[in-house]
Amino acid sequence: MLKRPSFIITIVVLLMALAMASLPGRTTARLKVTLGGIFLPLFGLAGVSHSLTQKTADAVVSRSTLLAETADLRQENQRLRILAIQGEELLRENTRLREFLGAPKPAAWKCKFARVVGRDPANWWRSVQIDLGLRDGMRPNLTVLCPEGLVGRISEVGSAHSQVVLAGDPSCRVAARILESRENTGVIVPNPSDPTDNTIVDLTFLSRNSVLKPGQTVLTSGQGGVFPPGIVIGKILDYRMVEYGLYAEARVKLAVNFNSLEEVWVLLP
Amino acid sequence: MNWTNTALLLLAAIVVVFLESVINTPRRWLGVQVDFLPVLAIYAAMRLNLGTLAVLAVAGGLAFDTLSCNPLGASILPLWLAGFAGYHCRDFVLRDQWVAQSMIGALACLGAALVSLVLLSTLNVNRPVAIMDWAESNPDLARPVELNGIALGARDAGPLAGWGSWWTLLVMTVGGALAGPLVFGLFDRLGRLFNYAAVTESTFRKDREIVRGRT
Repeated sequence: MLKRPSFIITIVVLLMALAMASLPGRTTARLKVTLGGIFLPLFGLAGVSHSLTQKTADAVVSRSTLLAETADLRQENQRLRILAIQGEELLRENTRLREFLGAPKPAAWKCKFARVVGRDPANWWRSVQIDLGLRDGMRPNLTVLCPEGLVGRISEVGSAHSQVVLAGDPSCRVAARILESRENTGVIVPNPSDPTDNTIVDLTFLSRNSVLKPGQTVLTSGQGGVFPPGIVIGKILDYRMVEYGLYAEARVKLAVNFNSLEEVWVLLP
Repeated sequence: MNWTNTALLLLAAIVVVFLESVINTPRRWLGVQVDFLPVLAIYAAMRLNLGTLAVLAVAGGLAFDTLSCNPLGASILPLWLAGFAGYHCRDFVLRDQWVAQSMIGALACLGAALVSLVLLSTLNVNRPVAIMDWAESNPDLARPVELNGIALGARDAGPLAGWGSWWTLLVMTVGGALAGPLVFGLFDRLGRLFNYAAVTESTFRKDREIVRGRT
């Protein structure tokens, strides 16, 4: 039988847990942001130590390595410039055709660079913390991506940090389509068979008449109003019919390796 | 109760949560992040008192939930239950033996992870997030639709759990077993460093001394 003091403490702890669980979503989010303030000095310390380590590492890099890297970057820059010229011409053509059709002009993407400063300590979700917050113009549901493809969306915003739920997290569902066949649209959901593997997700609710092949590219479709269309998500590994052939489901290998993710871009509207 | 022990334990809890968030090596190698908070809770239960355990469960749980996608307060109960079970068994456990410390560390981690998983699955609330309307700035690019009846971007699903979760639980248990003796050793040493040693009462009494010889 519980003794009186331990009984009282148990009741107090239970009540606190229950009170927290029953708080409305907005209050919880604000409380999380406020409590997150206690980690700010630690994040600052980690940032300083990271930049110091980086500077030390930079100081010991040999001149020949730096010259070789500069030459590579110069070549890459020239290649990208040529591609940009081609892209600009295509854009001009696209704009002219849009004018003929009377379609509105697409807005250009505005991106903001962010560094990944932390990851979800729990094993049951996939999220990361980035070093941009309210003061940098962040707000919930902004798209986060990197050169390889889609990363996720911002879920909670603090003053100096934001939480990004990654593609494949239960709270980050992405409307997707297959590049090779535009009519094939579905939703990216977590792969339930192996939650520890964060490189595989499922593309579900595909039409049973879909023409699916391993290696096909999966992109965001733009439906749902959160993610803009055309961002690469990954490639199809295999597929199967589910619910007695009612619809098809495909396993998708994500383009982005979340384990080595260090720098991302936030897409501003 | 000595407040330095409580303060040290709370500080350790905050630092542990931060390190679990920043250090990605276990996740990169094993696909799992080991949680050391239950081991701290079991240390508080074995060496300190229920008050300290309660403070640690609440502060550590809230700190953990702040950096994770857990609903706020979801980690309080698993930590409290792990520590509370340890507190009620502490007279029957050889808590100074490293084998026992390892065993209770493993059990605490396993128990806390299981309770946490059950809680998150049952606490799974449908909390729709205000969806930013991409179509406002790109009217031709996106149409805000509810695709296949699923509110995209809404938190409407439970935690990531499946057959692979057995591996997660195994790694967490082994991590707890390894961390148990380390945490006990470290905090016992810190306790000796910051606290005065307990005075051992001698049976010798001055007023009862028999003085031989002539007075």
